[in-house]
Amino acid sequence: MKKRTKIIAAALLACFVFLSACGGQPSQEEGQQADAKGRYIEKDITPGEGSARFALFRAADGTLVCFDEGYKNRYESRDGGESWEKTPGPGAGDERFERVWNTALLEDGSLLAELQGEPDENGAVPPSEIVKISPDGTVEPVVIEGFSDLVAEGQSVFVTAMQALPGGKLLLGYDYGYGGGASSEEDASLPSDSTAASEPQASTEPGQEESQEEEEIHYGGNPQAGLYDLATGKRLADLSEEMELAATADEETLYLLGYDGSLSARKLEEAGTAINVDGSFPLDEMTMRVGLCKGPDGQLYFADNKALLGLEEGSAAPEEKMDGASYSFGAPNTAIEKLVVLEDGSFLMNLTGPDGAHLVKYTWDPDAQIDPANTLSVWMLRDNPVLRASISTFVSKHPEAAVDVEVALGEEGGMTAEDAIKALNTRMLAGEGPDILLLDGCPAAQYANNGMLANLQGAVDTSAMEEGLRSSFEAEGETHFLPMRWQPPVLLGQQEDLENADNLNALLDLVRQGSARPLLDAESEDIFSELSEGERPVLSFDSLREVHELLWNSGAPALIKENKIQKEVLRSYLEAMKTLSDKDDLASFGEEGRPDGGLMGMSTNGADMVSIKGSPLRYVTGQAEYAAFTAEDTQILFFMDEAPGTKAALFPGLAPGSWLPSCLLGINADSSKQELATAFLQNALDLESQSKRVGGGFPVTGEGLQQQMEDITQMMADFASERDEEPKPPAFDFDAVLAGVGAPVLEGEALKEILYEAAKAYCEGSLDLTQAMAQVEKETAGALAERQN
Amino acid sequence: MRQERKRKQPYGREGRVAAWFLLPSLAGTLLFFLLPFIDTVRRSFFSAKGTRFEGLSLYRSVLQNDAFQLASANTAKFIAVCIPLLLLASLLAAFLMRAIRPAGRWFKTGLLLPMAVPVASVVVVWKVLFHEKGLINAFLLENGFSAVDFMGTDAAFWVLILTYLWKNIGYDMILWLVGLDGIPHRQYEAAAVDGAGVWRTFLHVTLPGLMPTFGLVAILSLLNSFKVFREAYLVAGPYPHESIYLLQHLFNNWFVNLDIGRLCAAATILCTVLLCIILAIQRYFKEED
Repeated sequence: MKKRTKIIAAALLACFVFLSACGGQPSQEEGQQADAKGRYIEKDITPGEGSARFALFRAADGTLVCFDEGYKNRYESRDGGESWEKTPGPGAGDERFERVWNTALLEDGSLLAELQGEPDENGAVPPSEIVKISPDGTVEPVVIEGFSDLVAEGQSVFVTAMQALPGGKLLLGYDYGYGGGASSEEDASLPSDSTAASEPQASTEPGQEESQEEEEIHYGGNPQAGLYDLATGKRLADLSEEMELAATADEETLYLLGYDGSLSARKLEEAGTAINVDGSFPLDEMTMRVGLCKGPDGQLYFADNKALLGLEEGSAAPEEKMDGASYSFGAPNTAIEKLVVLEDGSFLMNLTGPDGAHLVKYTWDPDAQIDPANTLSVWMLRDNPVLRASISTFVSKHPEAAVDVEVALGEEGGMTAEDAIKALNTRMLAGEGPDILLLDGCPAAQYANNGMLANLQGAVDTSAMEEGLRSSFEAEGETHFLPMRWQPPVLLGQQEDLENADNLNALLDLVRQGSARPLLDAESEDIFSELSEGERPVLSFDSLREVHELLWNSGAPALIKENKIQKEVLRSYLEAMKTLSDKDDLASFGEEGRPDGGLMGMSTNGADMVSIKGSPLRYVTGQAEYAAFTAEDTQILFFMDEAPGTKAALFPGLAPGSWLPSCLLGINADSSKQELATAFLQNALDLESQSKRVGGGFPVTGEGLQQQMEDITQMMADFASERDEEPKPPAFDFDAVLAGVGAPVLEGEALKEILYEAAKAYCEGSLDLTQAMAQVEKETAGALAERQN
Repeated sequence: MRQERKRKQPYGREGRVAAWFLLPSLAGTLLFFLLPFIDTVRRSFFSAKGTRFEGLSLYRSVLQNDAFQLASANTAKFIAVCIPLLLLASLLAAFLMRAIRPAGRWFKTGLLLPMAVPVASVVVVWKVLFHEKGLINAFLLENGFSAVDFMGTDAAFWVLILTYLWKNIGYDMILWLVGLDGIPHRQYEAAAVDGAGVWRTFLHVTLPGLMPTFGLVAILSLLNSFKVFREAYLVAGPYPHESIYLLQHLFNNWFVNLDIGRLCAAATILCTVLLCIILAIQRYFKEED
């Protein structure tokens, strides 16, 4: 008996160990309960009546000092921004402060400012001067080594960064050589006594002196940066090689954040000796506006649109303090100009957006709780600024609610889109899926067909949506997902030119008859020069991928019908690719595209850099007769303004009227928060969300489109006014474009990629037309057969 | 009387003890295999959400689906080609191993190593070798032959076969060796005394002695043949060349598209077919015994 008991006990123990290893994790809800206790409360503490921008400083004694646009008014707060005292600023009565972009508040209360003169009629900017404005109003020039020398030589110099540091130090960044039309070594070369780093001097060989003079002509700027002693103006350390996105300092150390998120540090004393610092911050390479501040607790705080992070001394990995999704600083069209950490641990942010500048304070409330029942989970495959903007407006309207954002393909990890979708599907089948799904890149139609998405008909008021956009998503009295933005493929040109290209064949005929695009030197100053009429091609693209995107977005619904590849459409598609590729010789340049292309520009939200497509750029610079591209936001109106007389029409693709839906939102049918989720979707269709200019496409509601048009019109009028020109209302006829919308492109990426590979091979010559068509049919057969019922 | 009682309780005390020790593994098998399988069969009769009874419509849809037919044909073709090849190659390797004893242990290690190579590494090697600008094509071009698009033509099928053989030869060889060791040496001596040559000895002594092992090796090879999908998927993605478009590709893609009902129906069909094959093999070798 004894032996038997021992054996049974051993077996039971083994079972227990085995089964206990299978569980033990806290449930998601418990985790949510634990996380929900205490949160940061947001409060708008903008002084005065508001302004387009503010300059915010924290004085040595903790006083907050703020100047409005033009430095007309000065605001001071001694209670952490709860109340402000207003006095006239240095710009009251001095128009020069209208063009002041860089200032620094010194320890004695003086203001250091870069005053810039007005550009002349040729656009050349005169040298800036740095001045110190004392509290009593006295203005005196400040001499800074290197900078003042360049100004004295008549160089066009301007400040890129200016920050007062403890102990009478100054962090100064500047650039020179822009807009001067330098044509001689005198203009372009460095001062002989300058210690600043510069581009390496070209070596001289006999007979090459002339070419060396030409080589010394800089037409791209010479960024400089350094740590200076304000009292003497001497440079203590050269920081030109350390690419600086943001900087902050405590009493002893200057911290610099590089464009790659890396941190470096310098001793403020000891002539700016470099010291090691651990850690880095995750940075989206396109982000330009971030906040960095050393807190009184010794942590380094970093803020971008995604989150506010804190990095403890000695630690390598930062910790998230606030998720941007739940606060207004996370709105994608909001730029973080400055981050300040107050003594009580509160955060102050200077934010600018389309509706002006705001000072926002975030204070920790340990008792504040978000009920998990009011926490919506939002899932997206890739980060989406439109959805982020909607989340921001939703949270501001529903302070009792919180939003948990999950980006499946985040910055870390090697997960593929397919892995992410499979993980999502597993959760959905287990009944643990998120409440709101962003379906871009996902099999949205299949989700709907399989009952995974709630029916929005009757729950969400879609009357504000444009009829042509909404009706495409209604089927048998049900709607399961809706786009929040739409992107039409468009053709821009002069009115009579558009009439000559009202179908794809006519357009391609014009392309064949027209000139080929000359290959320009990417470093040349002629890269954006207008071409003569005889030299100008009809259409011009930078890469095969760009052509493919356009033809796909304007042809996919016709290419695949009734689950079959339409052969004639496929033939036309491949021939169109070949024609457009041959004209620009795109096939020979591979995935990178033409070397004379690839321009980056500021995005609509004014905070990020985006890649500008080749076709509109060529058109606007007078290097093509037409522009053909998928319009991603109302910035298209600027393009039209740049080329007078421009009209727009839907691109005459293989599926006339087809358009790309963007930011497709659906509600999980199994979500226990249907009411809140519905409110979220409704909010995404409201004017406040639809009018946010964050890219991603045009608003799907008439009033949203109208609002964005008005905003753009105002901006264009402001620009015209600055150039003393008559404002021109945008000529883009949205009504005409909307009247022509047809089927949306809902086909997945897999088929798109198969088509691209075959088209690329055809354009490169490795396959002929018949072979390319056969390849497409063969490779899509499996994917299409899988869908067959 | 006592002996009769023992016959009526064939497992006895030792059997019961064994059952207790097997309990944890059985619990795991039940929890992670049997119950999910039962759920899969259940789901094959319902919609994706499990709310609507579909009856046999999903099975009908699966059997009529072109993609399923293609994948089934490819999978059957793959099995029909690779299993006999593997059995033959591994048996020859086992004989060779025995013939060159004791040096054969290095040979054995070499053949077993592919099993230890991670799939990701195999994929990298595969790409280096079989890419259109890979080593094999470089060799072919250098020697005056034209390059072969290994992954974009029917050659992909043979690349897959080769990978399967390379990975599994060592494992099957070990099983054959065990089987060979199980044949009593006396039988070989008796055959030698009777004047049997090598071939006759093989036919009348070795082969019959290997029959039980043959069944086991065949079943395990069949099950391992499905694992080659990992390499195929990592190299060629969810939609490879049609010659290597297998059932697992279809299942993977149906899962991505949340076509759960048809996925479960197809999985149930596959399982049923495999079960029939395995039972047939077992029955055949039982009768042989």
